[in-house]
Amino acid sequence: MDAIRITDLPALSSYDLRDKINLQRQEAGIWNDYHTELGTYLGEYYTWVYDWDMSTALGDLITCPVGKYLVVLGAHYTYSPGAIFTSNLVQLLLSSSSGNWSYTGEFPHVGSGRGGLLFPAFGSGPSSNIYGDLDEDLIVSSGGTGSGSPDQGTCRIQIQYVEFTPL
Amino acid sequence: MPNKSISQLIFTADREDLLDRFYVVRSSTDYQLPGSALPPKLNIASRSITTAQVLDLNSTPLEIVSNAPTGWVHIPVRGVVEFDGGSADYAANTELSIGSTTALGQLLVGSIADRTDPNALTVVSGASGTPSVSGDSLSVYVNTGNPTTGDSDILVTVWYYTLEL
Repeated sequence: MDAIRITDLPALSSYDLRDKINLQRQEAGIWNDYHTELGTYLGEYYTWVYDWDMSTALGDLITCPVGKYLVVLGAHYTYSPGAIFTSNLVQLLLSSSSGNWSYTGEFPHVGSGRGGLLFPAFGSGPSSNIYGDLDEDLIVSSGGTGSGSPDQGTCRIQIQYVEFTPL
Repeated sequence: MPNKSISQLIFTADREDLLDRFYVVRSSTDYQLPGSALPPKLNIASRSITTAQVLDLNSTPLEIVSNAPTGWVHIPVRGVVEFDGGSADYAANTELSIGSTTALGQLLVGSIADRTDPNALTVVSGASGTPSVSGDSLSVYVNTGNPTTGDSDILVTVWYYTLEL
């Protein structure tokens, strides 16, 4: 890294579990050098981040590897208004592709920022159908209520999830 | 970072999601990663509330987390309410709540109707969620009306994210 600053490097928008970072750890009064992997250090879960430009439709997905389930640990969002807003409610929807399980969040499209959590819409309490099916992607989309549609502002959505391999 | 080890660098306790950049290596190639790509930082705040204040906690909400900076928002995630003695449970209005101060809505809720054990403050879901307001503080209040009786001081703790928009 001599003479190169971090900001000179190409940018990533999300981390991979096997991305390496360096650290120093004080042991017996001496700073020793180590490297580790983000998945090892933070835990074997993913953090999916999406910056939604609200002038476009929100339609993205988290791809499920073959032979696995995707299990959401938590999700939240922040909304930053643009110059024009509609006062309509904006719904954030995170669901399995079969639609049998979902998380939702909702905020008003107003002139000041908002932030909140996405909540499980189904599966509170014991359930036989709390997650999506095997190999099912998670679909991130938006909806709204009332007339018109939000078309300005940005919304950052962050989702923590694990890939789960069944027995 | 020429010729300096990590332990020689200036320590910072702040987190600037949009302005921080981390150095990572992927497949032997160097990259930068923004702070916003990492899981959110979890903060904690507590406030002791006297019996007299609890009995007026619908009329007079009390701040537990001070205002977020401009362009940032507090999002409460979990909490707990603990009881300090007393001889009578709170009655009538007993939904202790955490809300965004300028637009009080139940972001977290827990019961103060039973003082024998600490009670959890958990998130309130629903189609019409009331999200936190940017730049706002978080307050503790009792939903609907003031409790009518009860005599235990309480300690409210909340865990929350503070995120940049």
